[in-house]
Amino acid sequence: MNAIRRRLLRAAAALPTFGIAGCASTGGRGTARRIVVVGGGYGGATAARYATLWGGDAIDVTLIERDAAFVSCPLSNLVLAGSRSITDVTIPYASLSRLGVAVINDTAVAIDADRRRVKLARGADVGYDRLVLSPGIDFFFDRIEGLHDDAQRTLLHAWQAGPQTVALRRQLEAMPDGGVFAISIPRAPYRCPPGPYERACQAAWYFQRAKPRSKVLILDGNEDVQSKKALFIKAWSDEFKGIVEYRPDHVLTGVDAKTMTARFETADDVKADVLNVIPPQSAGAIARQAGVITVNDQWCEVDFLTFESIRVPGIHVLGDSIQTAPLMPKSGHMANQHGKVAAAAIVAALTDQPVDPAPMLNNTCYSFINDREAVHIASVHRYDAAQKTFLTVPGSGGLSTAQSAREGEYGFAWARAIWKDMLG
Amino acid sequence: MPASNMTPLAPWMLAVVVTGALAGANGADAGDVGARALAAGCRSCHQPGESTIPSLDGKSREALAGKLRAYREGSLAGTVMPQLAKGYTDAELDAIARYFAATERP
Repeated sequence: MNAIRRRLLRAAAALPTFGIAGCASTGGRGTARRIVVVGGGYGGATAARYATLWGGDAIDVTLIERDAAFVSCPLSNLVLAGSRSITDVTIPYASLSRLGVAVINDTAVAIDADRRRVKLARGADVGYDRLVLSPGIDFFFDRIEGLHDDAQRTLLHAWQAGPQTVALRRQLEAMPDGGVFAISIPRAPYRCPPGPYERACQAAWYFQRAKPRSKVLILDGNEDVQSKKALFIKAWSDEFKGIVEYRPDHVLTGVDAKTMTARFETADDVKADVLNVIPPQSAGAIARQAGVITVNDQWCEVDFLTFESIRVPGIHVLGDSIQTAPLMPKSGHMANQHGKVAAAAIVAALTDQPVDPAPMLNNTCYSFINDREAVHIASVHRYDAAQKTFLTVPGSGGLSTAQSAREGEYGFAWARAIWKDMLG
Repeated sequence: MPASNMTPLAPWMLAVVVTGALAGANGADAGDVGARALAAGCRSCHQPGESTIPSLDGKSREALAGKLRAYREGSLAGTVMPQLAKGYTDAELDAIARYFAATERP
């Protein structure tokens, strides 16, 4: 029997089976060590794929993901503009399954770190030697007065790609010409620092073509543009002159979904036709349940050599959920890089090999200004043994000199490549 | 042969193709985990079978190392690569080139 067939059979055996009391029993399939990954985004899918590639027969990998397919946040602002469709940014998990990852379409609802088991919403229970949590973000809706369940159906965030992206696109399509689309940005740190500004460009590009009297209003909870500032400001003052207006120091405190009004700590109220509220964020809910959130009730501190929680042994945390190192963005590319360092470290630990003492990370992030031109920011991060964190390498990294179609082609190529890298 | 007779075989054939590609994609030089980790960092953008952002698998070691050093030194222009290459030492760039040269061209 060849190695892939053996691994596929093991993966099938790894799927949870339901015992008499509704509990599942797993394990007992030889000597392979068990990695369970919760969350199949840029961090988790990458960790699952690389742990499988690098672990060989010594490691069984299970991925628990609540959605049937991966939907990319990067490029999803182009879905709002209508130059791409939601199917263009949706990729199935089939290749990961073929590789031998046991993909379970369910939601992890509880972690028992002492017994090293994950409880799933449908009742199954999966055991692990090492757990990887890559749960993305959750929102502090209750920090914005009036943003209750009903209001959330109108005041969308679209900050997790999927149904919200499609719904916000419909709101933009339904908005009358001459209307105002307002984007509320939370205080940093939040997922994807340049994302809201890219969104403003994409909405403006759509309005120019479909409803040219309309406006995009950026209501930033920060004192200034958080990423690619000069490049975005140039786009707003040239290509989207008279369409995009930027207002700093707009910390959102309340909303009225009936009158479409936003209230702020210090600034005047704003009324809009479509109000896109990106609320303050924290690590995903399962991280809170697992007890790995350690900073400000928001983020999870990790040992940067292994991405293991500093609080709970055996649990590794990746991606947007972590308390980042200096100048490390909460980006999909960075989560993908976390996934590889963590996969290598976990496989090493489970197979009695030394952990890489000098890991490196890089980040490349493209923002699309219109349907074909993009800008980038790039950085390189080296582990510093003395400070036990990643630091950017002096003299490295940087930004585009100007938006260009060439960088747009690279941006689309980046997406194709990283989706292959994480999903196969 | 009717297509339906082919289907039971298809997943295994696909699996063989996939493993073949992955063995190439992740290198024969599995002992050198440091180089493997550095090269994995490049794979976020550089995948086999792509051309806009070129595949690095099976490239000549000398050519790739030379190009990476030229990006680092500023003698070769680009968008992202000059900025990224400056974050690595010459020894690290050489290890990356050595690693990709040892992988099979897909």
